[in-house]
Amino acid sequence: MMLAETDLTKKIVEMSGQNVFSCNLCGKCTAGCPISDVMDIKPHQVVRLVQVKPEVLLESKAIWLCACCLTCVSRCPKMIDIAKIMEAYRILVLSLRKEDFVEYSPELSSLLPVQALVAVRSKYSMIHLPSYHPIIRLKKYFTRERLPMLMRGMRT
Amino acid sequence: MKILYYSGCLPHSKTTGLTLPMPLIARALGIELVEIPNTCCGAFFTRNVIDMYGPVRVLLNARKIGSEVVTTCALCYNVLKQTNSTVKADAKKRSEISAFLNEDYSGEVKVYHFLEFIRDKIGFDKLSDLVKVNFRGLRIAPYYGCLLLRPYEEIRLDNPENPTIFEDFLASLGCEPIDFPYKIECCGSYLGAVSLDAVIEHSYAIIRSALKSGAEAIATACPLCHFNLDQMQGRIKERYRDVSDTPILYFTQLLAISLDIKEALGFEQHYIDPRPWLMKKLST
Ligand code: SF4
Ligand code: SF4
Repeated sequence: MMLAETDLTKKIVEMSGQNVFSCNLCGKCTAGCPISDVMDIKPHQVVRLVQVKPEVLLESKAIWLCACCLTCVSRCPKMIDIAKIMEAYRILVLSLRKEDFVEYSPELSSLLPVQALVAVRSKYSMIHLPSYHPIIRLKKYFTRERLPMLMRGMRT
Repeated sequence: MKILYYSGCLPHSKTTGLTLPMPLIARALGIELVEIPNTCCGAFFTRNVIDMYGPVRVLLNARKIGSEVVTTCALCYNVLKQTNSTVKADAKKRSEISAFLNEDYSGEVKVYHFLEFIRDKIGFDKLSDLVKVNFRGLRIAPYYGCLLLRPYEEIRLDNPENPTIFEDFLASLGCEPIDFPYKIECCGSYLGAVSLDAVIEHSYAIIRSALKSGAEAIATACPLCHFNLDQMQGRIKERYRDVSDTPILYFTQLLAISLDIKEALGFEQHYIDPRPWLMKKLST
């Protein structure tokens, strides 16, 4: 992508505030991670890759699958917050791609409870990014089809 | 006793059992509930400053009336507490938020989960004196999930690896709390949006673990845990045969029953209706 590798390492370290170089690769994070079985890159590998090949993670599924359950954070002997690293990547990818990772669909909103939908908005869409202009945001979320739905929602 | 109470979006959720009994419980316990406006807390704590306006707005609303706010929802609790510690620790974020909201907030409103409130302000021994319907050793597994426990530095509700507050609560109602290996595991929360598979697998592991340890039902304090364990049970059963219908109850519903509250508690919205099971257990 646009950034040189070392710059990307620096950028992720800065965004997440995590010293990835202190990791001793003990693997405790991956051992406790409930989602690691479906992740393509496991949490301890994420920490290592930030050091040596940070660009690989831009294309990974792991950054989107991390449930932010913080099990790894509470067990890491070096107090590395991997969830913050995953989040830094998500923010970076969303702002580079300028495209939501998960789009709201009627199926999604009828399946999931409201708390999940709000969390999806915070985690998988660009709506909360500083670079996302308010006018684009309004245009995108207050469409002609959505307005009656929103009005109904407000009344109940 | 008077408490400031924040119910968030729960009255508009798929299952309302977490907040529906609260006014009734308060009446039975002699507590006056003062509700603050139901503006959204954000439901998911990102460390991104833009997303903190929601929770700060909630806390500012609370500060207008008092200094402590109580919620029954694990999500609200987690987000509000993390917001408090972030504005306390990060002066830059705090000033950005104050500039945007035109009001300064420095993290001074104390946030209680209702379980914590019972433990610290009422006391579980006192609660067991107030119980009218004793559950007589009903075997219930307390499921904590993530949000009541992590991140520990910010939350500090209980031991993050071996918490007991939920067990103590259930014991004070006369239940037999069942300790099980998956009590602090993540259920997959909102991952249903990207991988329904992950949610089904983890919810299955949690329910199976509770059943194997001898539980008949599971208690929770989180709307997302409830959704994954209860509403997803149909899909879990399509895949796995060794899970029997397991009632998933909110802790507030259990408390309401034990206080002999007869009004509707939202059980009709559950995928597995706990009423037949409760009726059978409480009448014999
Ligand atoms: S638990 Fe911490 S120190 Fe161990 S591998 Fe994971 S990040 Fe590295
Ligand atoms: S926070 Fe993410 S990486 Fe860490 S244990 Fe949970 S799901 Fe795994």
